Amino acid sequence: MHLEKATITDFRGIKHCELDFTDEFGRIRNVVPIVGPNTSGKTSILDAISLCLMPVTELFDLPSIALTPASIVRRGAIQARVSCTVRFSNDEIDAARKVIELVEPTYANRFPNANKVVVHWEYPDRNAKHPTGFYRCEPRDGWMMFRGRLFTTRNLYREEITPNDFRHHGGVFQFDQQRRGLAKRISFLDRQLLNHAMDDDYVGNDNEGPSGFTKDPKVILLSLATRASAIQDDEATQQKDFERLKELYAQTCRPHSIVGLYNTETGLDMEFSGPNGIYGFDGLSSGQQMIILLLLNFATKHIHRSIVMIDELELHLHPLWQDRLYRSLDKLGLENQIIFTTHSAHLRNSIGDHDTITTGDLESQQ
Amino acid sequence: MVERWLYCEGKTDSPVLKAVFNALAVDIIAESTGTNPGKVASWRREQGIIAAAISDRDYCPDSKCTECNVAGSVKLIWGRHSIENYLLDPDVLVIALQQLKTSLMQIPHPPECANRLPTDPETVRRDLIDAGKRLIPQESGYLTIARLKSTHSDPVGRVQLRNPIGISGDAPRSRIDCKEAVIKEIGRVLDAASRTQMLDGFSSARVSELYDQIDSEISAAAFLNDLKFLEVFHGKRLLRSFKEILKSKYGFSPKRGTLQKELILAIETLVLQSGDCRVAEEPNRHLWRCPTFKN
Repeated sequence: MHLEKATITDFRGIKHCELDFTDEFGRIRNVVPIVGPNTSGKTSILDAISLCLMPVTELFDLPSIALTPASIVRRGAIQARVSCTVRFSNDEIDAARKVIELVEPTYANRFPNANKVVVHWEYPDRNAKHPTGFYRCEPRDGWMMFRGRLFTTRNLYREEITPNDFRHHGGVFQFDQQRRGLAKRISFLDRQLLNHAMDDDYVGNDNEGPSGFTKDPKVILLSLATRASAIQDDEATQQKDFERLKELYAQTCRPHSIVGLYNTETGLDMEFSGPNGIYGFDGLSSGQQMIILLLLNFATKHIHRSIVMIDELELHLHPLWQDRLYRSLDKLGLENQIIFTTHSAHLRNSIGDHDTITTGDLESQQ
Repeated sequence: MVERWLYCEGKTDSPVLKAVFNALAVDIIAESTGTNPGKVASWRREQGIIAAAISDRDYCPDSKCTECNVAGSVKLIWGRHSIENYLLDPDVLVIALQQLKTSLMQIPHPPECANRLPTDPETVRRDLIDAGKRLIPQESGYLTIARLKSTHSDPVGRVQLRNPIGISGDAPRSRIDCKEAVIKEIGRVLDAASRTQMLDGFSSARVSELYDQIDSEISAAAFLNDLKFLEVFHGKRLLRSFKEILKSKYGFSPKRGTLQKELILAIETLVLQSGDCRVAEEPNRHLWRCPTFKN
């Protein structure tokens, strides 16, 4: 799914803004930077799009956005309104239809015959029925086109559905400035292997059986690497994801690279190499950590054909790495649309003004 | 890691350089400075940072270009008029038009013109030559002024030569109009300089003769067919002229930014495919291996 248009009205400081994510021929722009000074509404645009679209996918992955009228609705207005036009490729439509026919056959005959859906969100709901606001799709059953990923996630136990199917189902993802939201289920086997590295973030408990979730990037990276090294047929996706992660890390953080797993006295660790020799995960710089976090998010969430929003892409990065990360964006997954905010003049220089959404300049604020 | 900066002039230069450096896995940071990148590079070198600058060649003669682009030089000059002249390389154009065509055919309602876009190298080459031909009268005018400037560095007293009014703009101009505009400009210079000195080279007859000579040089089949004009002609005007050809011949009218973006992607693809930098390097073959960047 790709965002074609967005209209935002009375959302936080934004009175009204219309954003077009296509070029003059109607092609979707795959990488869209949003630039502007502080308080000009860059992050608000990302939050508005997320709040409008994420709940329709039912894959709640919202970063910490406070959902109260005081924090969402512009002062003096009654209601915030956001409309997003989302375009789907034929491949995505076929995949969504197929998975819905498989898991929810009663819905199958209602599947819309369209390639784009307009989602309207109004907050707060005028009838006070929906605490998260009122959602409406055009066409009415358009929501089904957003659910391919959800149904795939819920039905991975079925023989007909594999993790490879995520490549056909897009979603909506937002990364805030802390790149939070990283979490991965750790299996019982991995837990045994990585027990030494588990920290307080691990939230497995008896009710969940022998596995649980962790938010620790180190554990997640180790888990991804152990899975990739112990490859089985149905886990080929994980190996591809880890290989892609390694490749992108090497491209962005050159001359640093991920060597692989190694055994320490206390257990498994990840080995990195750089011009000054070999080091472990704990030796990563803040810039490297940012890159790893972003790459891990893409790998663990299987982000493909999705709308991905990143706040302040350049965080902790030297101009050279900013350039490299910008150049790697289209390789982070298959056919993703990346919308990012930036304050970096250097990054802005890399991108033509033609492709940039500008939310205002400093002079207009004075 | 040692920082190495390359300062360049326009808004287009740095995205192109970044794309090429990325494709070549070269760790040089390109940054646009607007005007006078040489001064910025010198200032950065004073701070102990490895830096160099690359400026547009404009209408510089070959001799000055060769003089600047020597190993170790801090202030380099593009081998062609400007960065756009590299973007218009036929190999780059073919890839860009192919990529454009493919992506346009994937959208729900592709424009009719998408099918007509030229993608075979010979047609693209011919269209490029046509774009160059449209500019001959104007370019003869600019080149006449440039040659007069270079042969008479302080031409007529303290009066500066300007680009003639009346030959700029995108609409095709006739030879007569352009020649008259150049002679008029020279007349202005002579009037203003009559109180100081008079130079033979600036007589109307001499200027007219020079214009005709340059015009016949750049209209020659060899000059056009060997794409020599890609080095000499004004890049932005050439790009606009090529856009006009796409519009009039194929009904395809992209925005400048869209076409430029496709060309930059194509240059990156081409560099990745070929594994070297033939397009951007030639004739600036010293640039990427310049000792300035060796540390």
